Amino acid sequence: MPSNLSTTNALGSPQNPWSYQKVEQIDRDIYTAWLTLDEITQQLNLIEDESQDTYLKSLELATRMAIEDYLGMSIKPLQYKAYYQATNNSMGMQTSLDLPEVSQDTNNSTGVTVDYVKYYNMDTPPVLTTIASTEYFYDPTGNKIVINSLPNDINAFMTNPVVVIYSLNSNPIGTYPVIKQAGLLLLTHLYNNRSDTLDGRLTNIPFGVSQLLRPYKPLVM
Amino acid sequence: MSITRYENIDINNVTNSKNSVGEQTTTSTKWFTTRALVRTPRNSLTITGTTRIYSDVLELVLNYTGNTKQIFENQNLYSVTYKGFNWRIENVQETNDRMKVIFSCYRNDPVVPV
Repeated sequence: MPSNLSTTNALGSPQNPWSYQKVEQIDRDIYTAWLTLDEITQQLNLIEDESQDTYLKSLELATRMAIEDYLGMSIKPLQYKAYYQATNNSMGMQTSLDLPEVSQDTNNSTGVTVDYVKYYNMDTPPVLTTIASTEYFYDPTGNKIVINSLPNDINAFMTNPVVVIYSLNSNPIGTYPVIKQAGLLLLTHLYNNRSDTLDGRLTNIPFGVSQLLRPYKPLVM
Repeated sequence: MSITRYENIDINNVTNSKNSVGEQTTTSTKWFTTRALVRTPRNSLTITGTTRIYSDVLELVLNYTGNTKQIFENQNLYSVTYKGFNWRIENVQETNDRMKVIFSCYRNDPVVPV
């Protein structure tokens, strides 16, 4: 029976054809506040007591980083370096490079900026060579970079000779009230519990940080 | 029955001086607004031979901060405005982990003849 669900005639290329082997976080905004001091001092019942503002700012940054790491999304910009293998078969071929972490496009601004795609060539020692930006584009539908053709002089001896550096722009979820409330809950916990050890036993409240964030955490298949 | 709730309070600086005729004067100037856990407000009445003395007592629990530490160290220099009245700090306790401070405040109504 003919079916339009057949995969053999599907347009486009599937995801994960060329998965990354290693990823490094190489830059992160650890200075810009996400929650305002007004929001924090209201939450902590400090209101106009400004004597702990410096401490509260550092707690706020830790809170924001914890939520970014939990969700795998950037509330403030992040930069990653991803490494990819190459094979003889891939040289001269159109190739897709899967990105490990992405931010969604919003309000006509892109979530991901590809800073550069480079590869190590066959010289000794190998030289990191840039692939022209006209040779590739970012595909937000599959979270990947599509390269028209990989060069023929990619180093055959290195483990991961293809390198991508890309930046995540701020994700719109950072402005969602529910995410901010989760941030305030976590910050209150960190403010009230400054020691790693306790006499008593703490229990989580219902509808706490995890429950508020869970719908926004992407599934990793 | 004890009542515990969060309420906004103002912390005031208190200045004591003497006026030109030598009378003792006390001036309160608002320093900052904060929110305290107000608990066990009590209103007591003492009747002496000729007068009734109304005395309100209040316990305020605040976060231990730089400002509340300063109040702890010089409690005579600060007062609290709560529900439109000026409360003087009678006693301050720090919790052992230095996470909270507890202010005991009092306010005396004028002495009324019986």
